[in-house]
Amino acid sequence: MALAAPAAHARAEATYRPQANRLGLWLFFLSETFLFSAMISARFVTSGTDTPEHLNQPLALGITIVLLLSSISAYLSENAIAHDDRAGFIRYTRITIFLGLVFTAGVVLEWQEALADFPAGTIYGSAFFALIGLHAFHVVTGIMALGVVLNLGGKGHYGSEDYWPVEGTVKYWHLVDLMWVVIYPSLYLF
Amino acid sequence: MDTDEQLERPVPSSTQQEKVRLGLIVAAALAVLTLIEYVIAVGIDDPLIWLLPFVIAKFALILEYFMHFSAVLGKGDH
Repeated sequence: MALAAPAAHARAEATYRPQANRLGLWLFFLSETFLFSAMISARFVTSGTDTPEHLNQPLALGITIVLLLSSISAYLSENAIAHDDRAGFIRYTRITIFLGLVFTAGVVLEWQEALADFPAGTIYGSAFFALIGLHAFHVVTGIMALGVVLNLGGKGHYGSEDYWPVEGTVKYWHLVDLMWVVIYPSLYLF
Repeated sequence: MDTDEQLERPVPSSTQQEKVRLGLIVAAALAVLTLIEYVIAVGIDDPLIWLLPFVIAKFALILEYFMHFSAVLGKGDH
């Protein structure tokens, strides 16, 4: 009888913990969506749909494709660990981190050019640097989270029965991509 | 290939291969939509209304196929 309670607790944990984790993650995503929506709204309220002529369109398109590619490698990474393919998980996570770093380097280049064309003190500059900066911060934290799961995965953690940390991190990475899907046209194309 | 190598590199299951194929198709669709988006934006003045369907389509593709959003609503496999 005394052992029944811990056993029931363990069963309940196994049943409901993944659902609770996922629900918590999606609520966090919802709050992130509010944050990005507010920033994107501010961009249109303050400067309409006007975009400066000096935006580096090829560079923006290039980093957009890099981020989309990182999303597919992140997807393949999660898929690999879900099927106990550790080598595949490590390979695709490394590729995702590399592409994330390439994207970040592209943003740094873009900032250097943008600072000369429309300083942060201008209306469009404020929206541009705030939005890109907020997004880049999420990319950097995503790279750090991917680094943690790569390190632990390399040490033998995670498997087909227990890969929630990888799933959560990869979903966060997809959120970063999702936000860019809206930010990119909002700042460069409209 | 020796035994150790076989242990390190498991043969992908058919389910895994199907998911990989699906992921690659979605990625290709995203790339095509992005390129069309770019061409429209460069070629048309005030392209907001023309670009919105592409933004929504890309948003939906990532949300459904990469983030498995329908699973939150009690459908799908995640």
